[in-house]
Amino acid sequence: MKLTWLSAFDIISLSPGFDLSSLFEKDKSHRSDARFTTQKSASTIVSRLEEVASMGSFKVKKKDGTVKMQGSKEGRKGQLAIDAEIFEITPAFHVVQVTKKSGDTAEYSLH
Amino acid sequence: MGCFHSKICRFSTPGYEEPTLLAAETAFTVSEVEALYELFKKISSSIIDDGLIHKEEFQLAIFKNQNRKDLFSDRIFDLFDFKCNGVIEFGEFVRSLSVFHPNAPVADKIAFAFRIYDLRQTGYIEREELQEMVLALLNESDLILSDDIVEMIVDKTFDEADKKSDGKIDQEEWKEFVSKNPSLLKNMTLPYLKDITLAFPSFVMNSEVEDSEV
Repeated sequence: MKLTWLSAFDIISLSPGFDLSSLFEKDKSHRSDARFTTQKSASTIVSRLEEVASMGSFKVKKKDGTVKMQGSKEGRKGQLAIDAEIFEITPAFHVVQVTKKSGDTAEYSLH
Repeated sequence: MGCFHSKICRFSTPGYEEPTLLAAETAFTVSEVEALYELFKKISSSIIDDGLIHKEEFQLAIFKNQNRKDLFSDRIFDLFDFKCNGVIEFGEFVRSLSVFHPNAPVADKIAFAFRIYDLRQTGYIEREELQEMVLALLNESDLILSDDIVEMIVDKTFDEADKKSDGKIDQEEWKEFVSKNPSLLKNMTLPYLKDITLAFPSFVMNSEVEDSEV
């Protein structure tokens, strides 16, 4: 899988002080993304995501460093669709950004 | 004209500029400028009600905590405050936010981002400045990277960006680097600005201006 490499500038742009959208948002609790780091290799991350996806009956599609997961059950707000984008800092250090694309996360719980 | 809708009459507030003037000189329409005025009033009265955005009020708006700050919010505040008088006036607010509008020229966004990163305003982004910024980010996030990895990342970034290999990134090198890595400008566009009139409908009853979209 071809991953985007995070430069120093990419890392800096993760800062909340750089994110002026907060001027408009009342609170961040409805933010629908999460970020975490891991020292696993890219292939391990992808396998783990695929494992989680199959547990929740999600369809998985892989494209350009992103694992796209779509729930097959029709929920209150449509099907749950989540993108997990994997960025490489070093081959043994990755950042995964998980973004909800549609649906209602309250209906599912993912680790 | 009455000042019925604000404790501070807008016309006597320092730095207030007419919406028609601001619309003509920025990426905003007149009604978007009026909507920005509602947002400006909210932020500028949050701690000290004087029609000006003080640093603590800016920090409160960004971090929801007036005492929280970081290197980047400081830089952005200083860039918005182009008169350098320690406060952000309405005119400065609109003109600076204009750069973040989806319709603003990319060249303006590239230049603004460069100025944010040029911490000591030398006209170049030096290696030490880049390192300082990465460390500042790591300090405030849950991302933990060893000094070796930080050095490696800064080195690799510099190798990519500093084509003239003179230990610093100038505006030309920056433009080229951004053209190869367009996601770097992600924070320079606030899509919300296009819908701002929905969030802050203007209550100006006697606006004589016809809102004409060019």
